[in-house]
Amino acid sequence: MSFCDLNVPFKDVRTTSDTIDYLSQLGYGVVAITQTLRPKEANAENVLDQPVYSKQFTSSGWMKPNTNNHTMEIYKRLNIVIEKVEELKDLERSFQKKFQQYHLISITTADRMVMEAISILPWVDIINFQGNVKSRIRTEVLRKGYDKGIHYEINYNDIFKMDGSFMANTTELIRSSKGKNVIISSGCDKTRLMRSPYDIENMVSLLGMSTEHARSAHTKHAKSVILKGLTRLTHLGIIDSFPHSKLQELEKWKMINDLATNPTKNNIPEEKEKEMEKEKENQEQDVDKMKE
Amino acid sequence: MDIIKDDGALCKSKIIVKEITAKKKNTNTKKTTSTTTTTTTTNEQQEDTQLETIIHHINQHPFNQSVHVVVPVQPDASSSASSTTTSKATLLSSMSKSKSKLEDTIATHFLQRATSSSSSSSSSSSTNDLLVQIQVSLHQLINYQFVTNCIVKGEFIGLSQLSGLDSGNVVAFLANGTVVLNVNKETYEVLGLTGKHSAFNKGQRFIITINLMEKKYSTEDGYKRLNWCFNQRIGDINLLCRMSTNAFERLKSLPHKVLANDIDFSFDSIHLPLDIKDVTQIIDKQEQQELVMALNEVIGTCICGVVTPFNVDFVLAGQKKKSKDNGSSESQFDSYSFISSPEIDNNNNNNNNNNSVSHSSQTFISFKKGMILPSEIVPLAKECRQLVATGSAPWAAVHVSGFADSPISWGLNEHAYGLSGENDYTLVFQKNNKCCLHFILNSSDTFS
Repeated sequence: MSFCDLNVPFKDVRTTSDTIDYLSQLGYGVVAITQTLRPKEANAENVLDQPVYSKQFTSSGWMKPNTNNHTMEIYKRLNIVIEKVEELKDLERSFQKKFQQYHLISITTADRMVMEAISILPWVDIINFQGNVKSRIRTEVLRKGYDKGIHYEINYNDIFKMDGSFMANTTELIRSSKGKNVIISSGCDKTRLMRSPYDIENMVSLLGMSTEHARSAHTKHAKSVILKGLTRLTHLGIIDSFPHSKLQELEKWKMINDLATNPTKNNIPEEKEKEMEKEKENQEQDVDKMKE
Repeated sequence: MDIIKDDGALCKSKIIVKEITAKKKNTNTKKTTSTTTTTTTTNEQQEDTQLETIIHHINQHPFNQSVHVVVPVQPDASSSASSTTTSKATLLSSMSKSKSKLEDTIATHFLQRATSSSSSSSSSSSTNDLLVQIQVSLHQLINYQFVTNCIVKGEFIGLSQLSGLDSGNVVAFLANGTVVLNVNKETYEVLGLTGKHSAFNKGQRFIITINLMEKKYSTEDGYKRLNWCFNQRIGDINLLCRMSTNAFERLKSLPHKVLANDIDFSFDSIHLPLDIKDVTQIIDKQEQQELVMALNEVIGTCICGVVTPFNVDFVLAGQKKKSKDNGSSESQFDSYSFISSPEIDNNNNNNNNNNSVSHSSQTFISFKKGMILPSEIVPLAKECRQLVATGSAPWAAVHVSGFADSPISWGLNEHAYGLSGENDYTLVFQKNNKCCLHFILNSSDTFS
């Protein structure tokens, strides 16, 4: 599984492409670029429609399935900042058109009531809690999120804040979740604050997480978040349709060919074939009898 | 076999020590008139078995990133006897003999850089002279003609580059026609070939081994299936290969880059002890562990080129050092390790103190970096063994380091990258035909 960084804020096309190249040098293979909005900014433009390219080869880009593209996988993420519970009322209706334009949807809050209310919603992928934890996080609240496939995020960039909230939040989250459904991302746009995935694993293991969970936090769990986000773009998670032009280089075998549908070029079903063979045999026997 | 562990805080690795003894062969020796010939034949047979085991272990480790040779230069016996009245001239003359022998024997292996790159056209097709980095899709390498003409004859061996063993997909081509793939879950599900779970990342990584000489792949259907999977399902790969000119001519049309192994040797002013205690004779396990770790640390510093301006005393001969006060036993220094507590002692050069260890004033250090075949390491091991046996060197070490991202380590044992990806080994040759093999492994390796 390739290493993922699912929170890279978008500034310009040039600066984000430079940060993505830097992340590929550090060892990452998957990146999600984020656009942050408030509840009142539902009609804002989708800034992430501009093409962001990565030039560097990644350590997970070779021998990839279905593509010869050795560069990073780039996804789009919408981040909504919510401060009060009242803002959740018309949020889904106002942002419904926007949801189809992004791969991932996340909510950042500083309020615990908001976090408990969000963990029930099906269209949320990631929750990022940035308030000061004054009391313990209940595991019941987290379990509601597990049922919906929601993951809880840690931004390791917050360690540079002077609040001291990073240590308290992360230790409490790790204690209550036991490493389950936790993802780690950078959350910073400056390259000097970014670190390689191995350094982050070491740092998080010091905060109480086991090495296995630390490794899965930016590999397995991050991949499951992406898959959950992609299923939201399908019809009930069952059927997905797209034009031929969107197929990747090595996926063209999926197009309907004559060989796939008629490998033997025989449209007659087996039962009828057997009846026809019997009739032929009977006819031949009759002909032989007539000759005799 | 003794297992020696070094559990650091985050990095877990193991060192396995194996003593390679010369076993007696049960053969019917012919009757001879003289008794001396029989003893020589039995001794030769014992040495042959030792060589065979050494060669066997070397050949089982196909992918080697670099090989280093460390040999302390020994002064002659006449100069060591007269310790107080040693003059510079006698020392230099004694050093020159052993130095010249090293230059005539081992150093010749490290002078081929100029010849190998220029003789690419004139070299024979049987030797794998060329080091090439190519970008290729796998179906082009399982072509019937390429397999029968190059891979089966041992003219092609390759390992994927620029892809991590824990984050990406890795492939290795062996000389006997096997292809080993270590892939993640996504590619395994899309690729369509059967494999088995990894022993260390169950459910996340899978291993596929394909023997191209099997009957399954000689038939049309089998070959078509394999070709289709490699061509239509997965992308291309960046391979680092050792190949002959015959194989290179078939792959010239692909994007490639011809490289060369980095080769050099030198006589550095590192003062190593001339006597090393035998590891296998130590009964105490902790003492054994400390000695092995210290020995590997010493070889590592020599390889890294750490040369101090002072004479650092490497206590590897098994002597417990006393404090300068010559006080009670409480002030004795019992440790073997030198990195944690190095002692700077400028007086040891004169060898006045009876408890001091005799040192060499120079050491021979050589290296070869790139992609080194086992057939290039075997003659180095033979030369070092002969040097120690004839007495022209007190001891010798050959350190070989493997690729961290190779899917196999020894034989077909699975190698994974957890917190580190070590799969190295060192051959230590000592007096009285003693040879010790140190396997340096990480925790995620099935060889241990």
